[in-house]
Amino acid sequence: MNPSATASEPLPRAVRPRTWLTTKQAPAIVGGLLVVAWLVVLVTHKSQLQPTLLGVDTGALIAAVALSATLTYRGSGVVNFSVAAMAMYASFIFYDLWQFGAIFFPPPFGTLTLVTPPPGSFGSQPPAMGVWWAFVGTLCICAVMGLLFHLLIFRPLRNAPALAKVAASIGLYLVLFAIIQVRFPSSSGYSFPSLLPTGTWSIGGVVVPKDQGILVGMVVVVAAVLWAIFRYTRFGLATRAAAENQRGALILGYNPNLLAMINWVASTVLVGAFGLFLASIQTTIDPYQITLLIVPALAAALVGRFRSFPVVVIVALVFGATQQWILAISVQTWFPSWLTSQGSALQGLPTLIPFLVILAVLFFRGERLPSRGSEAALRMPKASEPRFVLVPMLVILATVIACSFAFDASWRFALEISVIAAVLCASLTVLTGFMGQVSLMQMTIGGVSAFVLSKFADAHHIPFPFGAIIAAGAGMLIGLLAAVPALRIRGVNLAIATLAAGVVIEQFVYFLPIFRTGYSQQSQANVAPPSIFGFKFGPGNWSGWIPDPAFPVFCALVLGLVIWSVVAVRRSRLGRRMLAVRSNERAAAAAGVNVAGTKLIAFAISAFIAGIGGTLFAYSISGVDTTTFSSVNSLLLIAIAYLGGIAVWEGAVISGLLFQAGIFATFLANIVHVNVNYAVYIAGIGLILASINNQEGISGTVRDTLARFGRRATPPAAPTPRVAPAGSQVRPPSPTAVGPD
Amino acid sequence: MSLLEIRGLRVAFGGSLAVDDVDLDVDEGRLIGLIGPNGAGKTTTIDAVTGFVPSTGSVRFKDVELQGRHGRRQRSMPPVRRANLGLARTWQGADLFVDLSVLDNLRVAGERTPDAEHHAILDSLGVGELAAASVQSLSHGQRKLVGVARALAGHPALVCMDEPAAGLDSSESGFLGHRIRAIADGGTAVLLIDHDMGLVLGICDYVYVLDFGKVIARGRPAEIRADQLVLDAYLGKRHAAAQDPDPASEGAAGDGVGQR
Repeated sequence: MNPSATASEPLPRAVRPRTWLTTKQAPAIVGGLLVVAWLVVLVTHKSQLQPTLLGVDTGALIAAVALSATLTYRGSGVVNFSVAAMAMYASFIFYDLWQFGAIFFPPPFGTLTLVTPPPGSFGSQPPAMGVWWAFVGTLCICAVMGLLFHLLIFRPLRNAPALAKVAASIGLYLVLFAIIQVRFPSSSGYSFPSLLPTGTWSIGGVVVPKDQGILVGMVVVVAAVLWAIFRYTRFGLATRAAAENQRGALILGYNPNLLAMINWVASTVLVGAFGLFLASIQTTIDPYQITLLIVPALAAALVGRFRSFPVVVIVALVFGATQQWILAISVQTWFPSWLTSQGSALQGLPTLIPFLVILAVLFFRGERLPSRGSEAALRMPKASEPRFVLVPMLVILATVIACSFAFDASWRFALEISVIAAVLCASLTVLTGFMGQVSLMQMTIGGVSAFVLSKFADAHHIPFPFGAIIAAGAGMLIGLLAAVPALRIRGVNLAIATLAAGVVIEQFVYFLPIFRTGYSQQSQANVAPPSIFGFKFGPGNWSGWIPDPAFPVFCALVLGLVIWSVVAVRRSRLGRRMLAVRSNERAAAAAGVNVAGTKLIAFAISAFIAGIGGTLFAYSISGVDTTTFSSVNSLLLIAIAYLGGIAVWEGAVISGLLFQAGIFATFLANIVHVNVNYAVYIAGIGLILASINNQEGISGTVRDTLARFGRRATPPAAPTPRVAPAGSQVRPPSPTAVGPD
Repeated sequence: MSLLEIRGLRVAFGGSLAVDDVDLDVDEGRLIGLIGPNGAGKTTTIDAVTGFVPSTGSVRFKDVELQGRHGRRQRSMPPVRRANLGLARTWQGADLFVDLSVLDNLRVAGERTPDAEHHAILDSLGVGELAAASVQSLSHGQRKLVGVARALAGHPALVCMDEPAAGLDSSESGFLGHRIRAIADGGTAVLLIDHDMGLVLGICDYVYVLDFGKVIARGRPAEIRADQLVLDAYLGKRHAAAQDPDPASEGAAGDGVGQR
């Protein structure tokens, strides 16, 4: 290590003796003690132990997802956000295979071609084949999918920065989710067969269903096998070596790509199998809830540093068990009543636990500034200085006005959604584009603002601009809370933390009494139309015009204001500081830039803009629809923002068109006549492609094309915008995977 | 009273001391050299002075203790406050803000400095015509020069330069030496680290020699040239190491111990 150590002088003596407890070990010990205390409570209170044991099957799936994510990370350096989606996907592959002997293929192999066997080959009635045949078939398909994911997506990204890999995996998440939405539009009504023995075991007066016990046993065995493979076999050693140093492994005769491929296939098959088992035990599967299990799974993987299989499994099983345990203890009298609904705990309450664990782990392990040697070489899209803003903005405004009156109701609604989505994308322009911080909770910030508008501002009759501003301010507070961990963590870890925060908001905060007062249903959170001096411009004020054309115009004016602010930020000292921090935190600090303060301001501005977007969504339907403000829409938002061009204002406008139920989705539905979920599918594919080849998104492509065109048309004198190709070509070779450690 | 006064500075990586009990002074407007073989702890010393690695001992700058009252690292002043106090630095890899133009790089560091002065600084380093250029289009040598210019942009009282001449050819290096001398003569103190013995001994007022984290010699360049310890440690036994032109290897050496 130290070259001077080769000389005969003695090595510098050790100065700090190992203390028995360091600040880094303390959280782990505290966490371990908490788990032990919890186990003691469980064992001594049989009334709590019994229901807790009934929830271990979910824990087993979380453990399988976490193992799979760890395996993928160790094999290829990818923190894969789509693992849980893969589990869900596999169980639907199984369902089709088992029921109809059919396999569905996504585009471009036709518009979701369903390949069915010739009639009569499996008999006329479903199920078409035996469950174990379908099981084996599904795992084979999973293996092929793992292979394809590696070859088509993650192998091209093998030298890309960690965040680009995360972006691709989010794209994959959206793709898998969208395909299932298209193929199985209703989220229930699919009954899965039993694969594992039913019946129960009785151990010391506690009843354990056999299938759940077997599932937990299997996941523990898998973890043990993986641990043994990585510890004792040549394959495991090679994978570990390749993860440390790809080139080094190559020189020693291992092929890192082959290793990554095997790990991808293994992890996909593993998670697919457990997804199937869970579906078979619970006899049904909720595609949305299962994909979100990625949050506790990533939390468990983080605790195990994406390295230790045993730790990962134990933590994941604990997360799974606490879900039912919290429900069990919520009937106690001492349980705070504001955390309950109709006598039992709020459903989303258990999501708090993985979230807090993520925060604790990241906060205690994070470093304030990346230290020498761990430089995260993050390639970000170019945030070119905006040149022409006023004229394009006026053109956009004029277009929106014209279209508001020319379009029919469905298109007008789509226009309005697109304009609002552009506002939300502009929030990512500041945070991700300028500041380089990823947030996977923007839609849920908007949701909080929408609720505050309904439950606070409207309830207290605060007039239009002030109510909306207060609501957006509430969103800003949430954003600032999210920024606190961001001061110590960055990149992939921040993506995990914000996703977890988004899930907590979506599943828990929305259901808190302050947002429920006077209503039993979320959809009854009403919002009065905005008006100034008696002039109303809500969506439903002109008779015969639904939505009211004034509303999209109002949204476009707000968008103009937001874009103007974003441009002003980019041109200001603050914008320069943001870009300085984005490109090099250490150097920025050394140049006198307050890194933490700059990040806080960026989070605040971004969350305020997201809050504005949320209030506009609330106005657009005169209420709060929590399905709009969901975590999967947060993922969709960052996908389309990336796709449109995340670092320039034009990108935000283009991105808005691509949002769910926006102009592009309506184009698909009304003109191409396909399922609107293809919009999500295309956004996902787009994000994957953008993270592989094109960091600048659509706006960058358009700008480059225009510049090339302009240069050809008018010789040198033309003031072509600075689209120096240097940005994309000249970059130092990236270091091997910068892990989330 | 010196501008920068380092007493008993220690930096530990894991179990080993990268910087061991270093005392060092920089007076106003002086050009002080810090040399030593690979892994001697030169960059780590600058990292500690500018607050980028935890350290113990006393670092007084402009009569302000940067390390906290008791030298405990928890109380140590963060890098940004040290920078705003007038303590600037450059980096081995230049570490420019790649998303900004050259001029904007200087503007970030010197927000209150008028643009005319930024242009003057760039001109004085011979990179004036690059003001509007994108950082990504610069050569390695140009990046290093812009890195020096950025460090000067905020009108610091002291600039710590981490191998500004590494990777430059001999004529560029000679030019840079002249400019650094001019910077010091203009009133800005400089603490210069470099591998290039000729450069450091040629322009510095006073030189410290580090080996294994300890100061093994100090004195005027002429005295250092004659010092037997220095010849042994630096030029004699490890002559090959001193000739190593690869700046990255030095960084790796300092980092190898206990970063994880």
